[in-house]
Amino acid sequence: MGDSLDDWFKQEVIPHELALKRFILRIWRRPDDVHDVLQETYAKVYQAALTSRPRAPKAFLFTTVHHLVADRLRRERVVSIDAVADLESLNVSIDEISEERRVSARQELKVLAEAIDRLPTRCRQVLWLRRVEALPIKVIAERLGIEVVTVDKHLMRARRLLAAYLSAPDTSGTKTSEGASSTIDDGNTSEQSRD
Amino acid sequence: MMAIQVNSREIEAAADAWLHRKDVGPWDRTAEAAFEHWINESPRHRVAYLRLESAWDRAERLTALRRPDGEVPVKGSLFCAADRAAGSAGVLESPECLVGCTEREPEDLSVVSVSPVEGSTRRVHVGRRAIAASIVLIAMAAAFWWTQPRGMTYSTAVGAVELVPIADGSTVTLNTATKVHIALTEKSRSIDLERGEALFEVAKDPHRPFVVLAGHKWIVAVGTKFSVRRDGDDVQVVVTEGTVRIEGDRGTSAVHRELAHAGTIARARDGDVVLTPVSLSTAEDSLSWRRGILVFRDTKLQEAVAELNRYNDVQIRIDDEAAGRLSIAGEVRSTNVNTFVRLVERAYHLHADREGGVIVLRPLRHDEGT
Repeated sequence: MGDSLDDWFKQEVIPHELALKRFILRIWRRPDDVHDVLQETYAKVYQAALTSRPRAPKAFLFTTVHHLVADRLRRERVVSIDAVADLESLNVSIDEISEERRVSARQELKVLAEAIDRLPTRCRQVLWLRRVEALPIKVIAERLGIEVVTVDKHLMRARRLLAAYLSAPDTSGTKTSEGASSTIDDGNTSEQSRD
Repeated sequence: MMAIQVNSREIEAAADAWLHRKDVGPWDRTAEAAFEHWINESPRHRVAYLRLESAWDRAERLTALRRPDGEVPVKGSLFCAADRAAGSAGVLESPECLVGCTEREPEDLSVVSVSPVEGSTRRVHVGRRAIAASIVLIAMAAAFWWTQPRGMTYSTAVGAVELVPIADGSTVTLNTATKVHIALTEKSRSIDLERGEALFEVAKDPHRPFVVLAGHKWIVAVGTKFSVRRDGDDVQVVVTEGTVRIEGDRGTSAVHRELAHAGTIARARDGDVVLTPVSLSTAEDSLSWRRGILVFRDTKLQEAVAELNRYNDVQIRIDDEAAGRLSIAGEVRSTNVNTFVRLVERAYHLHADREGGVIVLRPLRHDEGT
């Protein structure tokens, strides 16, 4: 059962990661926490699917993250009403969030090419030689003139970064506007700097 | 569920190490057993692993872009290679795919959507009209000024904010439910804050001291910006520019004199004046009411509610002491009671009952919450 559920998870859940990350950023607003919220959400979804697989995985995924963030907000010592406002206003808009689900083979290649081009040079080389050329680590080390353990390190880092980049918009420098002041007005937020 | 506190990055690193070991070896039964143990330990382990494996699987497609000479392609050369590879393999799915090789969807990660807030705009317009009207009034008053030092009275309704220019070039901004009496003479500028809160932006005039009377306190300013708030005999002064002198007590022999500089909040009560230095941004936060906004920074819910109640006829009451002590942070439109109540309900698991002109917040039973 493990394997088929794992496959289901890879096919039905993980492809929504980009949309999910955007959603988390909008309702939670702490870029540093996105990784953790994402993992916890995945874990909850996986666990729920052990008993029965949700029929609408995407909706289930977003409902799960929604509850999870609401829970975290409640546990916060200082509740940010701005965040609650966002959470509330997004309550009904899950379906409006765009996501790149079924992409063409060409698009998929482009996404991959873009992602690996964002890798640091060494990570990119090592990943290419291992994944595309299927060279043994030792050979890669010799070819690049570096230690085997260094190849290991670069390769592992490349795998993590690849997973992140494949589901990230090209915004390595983007931060959420943490400093921006937002104002609640029946679900609309607005920036105010009038004097 | 796992009750232990976990670090998602550490779990990912562990998942990464397993994936690496599986990929490059050595992989035997012992490794397999250890891996099975690890991945079954927590759903977090499993999903972290599946996520990395999924990305790694996807990367296999890159073999379509493999160079015949076995070299690593240079950065940036892959996009067009990707186009060619896909094109020649006939997997082109729609004609649109031909255009915009490097074009990307604009990524919208912005959290705050900027949209005009009608209420505040209207408020400002009303303010401007009030200013225009006041200027006429002031001009008329100025004619009487030297002979009639009686002055003028201004007041605001609950929830209103109004700017009143004075003939000497100073301005007074009245906050909600406020009443002031302004009297100018040859030798003095005197403002009696009968109730409420006002911000004073004082034009320099060394020959005519600018004095605000608030209950038993006199606040004397010299070319400065400060607000005075009065709740009965409790007076709070926030200085955002220059210096003010707080003197008391009117009608008694005891005379206190305290100097408050920019970035100070002074609270006067029962003849005592307590000065608290604050950052200028905190001082400015306390003036956010001019924009129709209330700013809370780690404020007790009880205090936030009391503050909001000043601006609205509909009053909120918290029927739970513990809930009143919870902290809140954020900004709310001062007249937007319904939104505030809805958000607080959600954030604190409270339930709001409307009882006449009062909204009572009570704790939700545990099993009622989601």
